[in-house]
Amino acid sequence: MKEAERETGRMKVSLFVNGKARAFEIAPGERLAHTLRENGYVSVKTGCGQGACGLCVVWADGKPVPSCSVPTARMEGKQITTLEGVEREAAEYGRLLVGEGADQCGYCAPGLVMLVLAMKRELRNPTEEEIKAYLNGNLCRCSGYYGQLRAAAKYLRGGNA
Amino acid sequence: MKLAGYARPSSLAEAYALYRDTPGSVLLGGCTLLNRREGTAALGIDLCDLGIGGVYERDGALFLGAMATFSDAEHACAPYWNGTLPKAIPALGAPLKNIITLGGTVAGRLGMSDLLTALLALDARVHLFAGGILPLETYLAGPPLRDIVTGVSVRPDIPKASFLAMRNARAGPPLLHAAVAAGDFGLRVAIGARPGRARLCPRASECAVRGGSPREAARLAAEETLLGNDMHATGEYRRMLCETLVERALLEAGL
Repeated sequence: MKEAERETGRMKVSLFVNGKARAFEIAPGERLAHTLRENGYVSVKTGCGQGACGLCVVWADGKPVPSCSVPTARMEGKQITTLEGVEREAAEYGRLLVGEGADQCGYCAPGLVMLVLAMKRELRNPTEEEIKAYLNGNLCRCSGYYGQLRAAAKYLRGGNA
Repeated sequence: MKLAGYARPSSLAEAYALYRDTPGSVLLGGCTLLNRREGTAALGIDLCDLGIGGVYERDGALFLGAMATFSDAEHACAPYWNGTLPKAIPALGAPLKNIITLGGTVAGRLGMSDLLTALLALDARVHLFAGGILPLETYLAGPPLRDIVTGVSVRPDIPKASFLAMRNARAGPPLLHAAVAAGDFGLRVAIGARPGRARLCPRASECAVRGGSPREAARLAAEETLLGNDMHATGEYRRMLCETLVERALLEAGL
C-alpha cells in the first residue's frame, strides 16, 4: 500500500476482467469475489466463503480459482475471466445441462460452468474419474451430480452423446 | 480474517523484516485458511512475488517451494517416491488445488493434513528464511516460529514409500493417515489425523527394520501413538484403523 492509501484505508488495483482493463478501489484484504460482484460481475457469488463449495470459481490467468479466497490485491495485472466473458461457450454447455435435466435451481451453475470450460482447456480426453476429481468441490444441492457429469462428459466430447 | 493493510514485498529479506517488525501481521500464502480465522490482522504480507514457488531438483534433493501449489506438486512429484506425494494430496477439486500452497500447509501444521504425514515419513526438511533447515519432525514439535517457510526438500532417491488414508467420503476429512518410507535414512512410519499433528512411530520402524512382520510393526504403531477422539472418530476406532493402515502401507511399499 502507498502512503496515501494507508491514510484512506483503501488501495487501487488494476486487472483485466474478461479482456478489459479495469481499475478498482478496494479494502486491503478484500477478496476477488467481493470486488467482482460489487462491480457488476454478478455471475460471481459467494457461498461458503472458504473455497469449499465452488460457487465463486473464476479464472485467474486461465486457471480456475475460488475467488472468495483470493485477495484482489494479489491479482494486480492478471487476466480474470468470469462467466460473463465466456457466454457463448457457457451457453453451449448450458444446453447440455438442460438436456440432462441438471439445470434445476441454477445457483451453483456459474461455478460449475467455469470449471467445466476450464477442464476442456486443461485435460485431453479425461476419464470419468478425472472429470469427477476435477469437479470435486463444486457443490450442488439439487441435481445429485449425475446429470451434470453426463452433460460435462458430452461437452468434453464435443457435444455428442 | 480482515486485513488492515497489505504489503507485497519483492524480497525475502524485506518480507521477513516486515513480519518480524509488525505486530499482528500475517503471511499470505494460499490464503485458504485466512477466511476461517476471526479478527483483523494489522498487515497481510503477500509472499507471491518472492520467487519461492516451483518444484525442482537442487543440491541433491527435490525442493518444493513454499508457494508451489498442490497442483504443481501433484504433477511434479508424480515420478518420485513411488508416486506417494500425489496420493497425499486430497481430492479437493481443481480450484482449491490451484491456490493451496505447500508452505502454508507446512506452516499451518494442521493435524488433518495428508501431505504432512507423507512428508514426515519421507524425512523432509523444512527450509526457513532465518532459522535454517530443520527436520520436519523438529519443526512440527516446536513452538510457532516468527519465520518464513521458504520450502521443503526431500531426497529424490527413496525407492520404497506408501501413503494411505481412511475417509468416510472421498473428499471428506481424514479419520487417520499412515505413511511409510525406507531409504538411506532407515525406515520411517508416520501417523497423521490422530487427530493431532502427524507423528513418527520409532518402535514400529525399529520392528520393521529388525525384520518383524508388518502386522507386528502395525500393532506397535497403534500402541505407541497417541490417538484421540474427535467428531469424526473415537480413539479406539483410530487404533483399529492404525493397525490396518500401517500394515497395508508396509506391504504396499514392499517392506
